[in-house]
Amino acid sequence: MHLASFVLDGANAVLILMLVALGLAIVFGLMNVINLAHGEFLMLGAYVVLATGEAGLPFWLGLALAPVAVGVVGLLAEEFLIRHTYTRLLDTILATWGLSLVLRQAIVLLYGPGSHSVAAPDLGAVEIAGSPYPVYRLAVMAISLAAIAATFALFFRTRFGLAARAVIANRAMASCIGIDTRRLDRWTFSLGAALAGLAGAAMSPLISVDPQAGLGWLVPAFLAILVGGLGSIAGPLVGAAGVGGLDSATAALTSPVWAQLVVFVAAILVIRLRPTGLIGRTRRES
Amino acid sequence: MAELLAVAGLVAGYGGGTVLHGLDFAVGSGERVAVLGRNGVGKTTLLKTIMGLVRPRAGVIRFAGAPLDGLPPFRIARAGIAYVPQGREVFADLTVEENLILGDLRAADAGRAYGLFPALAERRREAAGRLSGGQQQQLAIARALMARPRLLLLDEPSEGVQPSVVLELAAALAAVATAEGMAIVLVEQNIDLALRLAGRAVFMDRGRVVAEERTDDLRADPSRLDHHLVL
Repeated sequence: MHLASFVLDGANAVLILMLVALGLAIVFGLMNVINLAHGEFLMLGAYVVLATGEAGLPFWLGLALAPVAVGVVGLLAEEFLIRHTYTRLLDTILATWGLSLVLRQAIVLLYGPGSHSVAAPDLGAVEIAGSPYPVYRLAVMAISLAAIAATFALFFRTRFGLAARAVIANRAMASCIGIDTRRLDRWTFSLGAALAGLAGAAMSPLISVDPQAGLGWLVPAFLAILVGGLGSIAGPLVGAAGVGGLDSATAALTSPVWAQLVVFVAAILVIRLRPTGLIGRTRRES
Repeated sequence: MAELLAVAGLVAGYGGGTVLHGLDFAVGSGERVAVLGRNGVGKTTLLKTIMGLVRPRAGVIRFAGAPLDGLPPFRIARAGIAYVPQGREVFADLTVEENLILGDLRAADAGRAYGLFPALAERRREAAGRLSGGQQQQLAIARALMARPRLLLLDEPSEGVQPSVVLELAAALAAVATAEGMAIVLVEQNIDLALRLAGRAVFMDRGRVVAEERTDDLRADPSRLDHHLVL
């Protein structure tokens, strides 16, 4: 394989990981909920593409539908499960873990435990630095970048985002000045789920679509947040760049097994030396 | 004077402890009331309970005729009550302007606040955490006033603020209150500020309101103050 392909594949992995980690981080930042079902939201996104494909609908429709459908699942999960566990961190972990089991088993019931594959739309390949590279992978990068930019615009350019940042900084005071924290929780959880759903949908042609598809993303996404720093929205991006980049580079140079080892050791070192993360600040208690 | 806030038989506290023991308290529309008393008698808890931060265990809180008890703070804020807590609690990482807009997310800009405190306009792009204590207090008050509340709850606004700035704050608050008919409940250790701003003072002890005086009478005869505060 050519160097350019390694770099581009690495960039691909990093951008998807950013999308996954971003969804996880805004939910944790706003609600203090550690969402262990985040990987399953990604898995559901891939299955939405699979289902629309089986229904004879075009791939791109499935891709557009996935974040909406998974966002609705997130909305329902928040309303009927998550909101009853707020302020009890351990219970949110148990509740979201339970949710992840339910979602995985639901998919097993509907589609069986086996693996499916989704055909990538045939966009051909382009010559990059002398070797052909699939255009679909470039499209995945563009989709991730656009979604990350849109999320940042939402948080830093809108009043909704301003209110969300105020809740992240000091929930009680934000409520005291009239910010509807209930509504923000609901929509932020749904947004986090939708981002995971989009990531899963975009990756669906590149991965094995099976009920366990989300598991492999949750741990790197958590590492990305821990390494990047809690309590800021840019933290997970930096962390994802570090975790995903190191993983891809090591996997390319040695093997995926070594990559996992190197990533974990590096993450432990970062967390040991900078407990608040690479760009983190201390979170204020609210 | 029409009754704006009516608190009756209020019992509230934290965890196993009870701080307010059947407190009765009322504020008229546009009225300015100082709540005085020694440390630990429940003044801050009273404000937090009105604001919904502490859930009442018994009693009734009515605002403009409608019951408030049990509502989340944002509903109470939207009903027309603004709160400036002890320690100000501005959003330190957000800019001055962002803090102000958060006071009223439907406001087109923060012009209302800059009109009251021009010093804030000069620092609109700076992180609120970089302001001096006095300016942070101005910001916290301006943020509360953005929503045009009918009742403003102030907890120790003079704490950690230079005396000259305290006078400015008092003047700005009095001007807004008079112009807009806004009522104020002021918890304050600074007796001078309390008497300057409020028309009536109530005295708390052990979670109840135990006495009240017109501030005119207290200014005329400061010994009455000592009598209530050592009881």
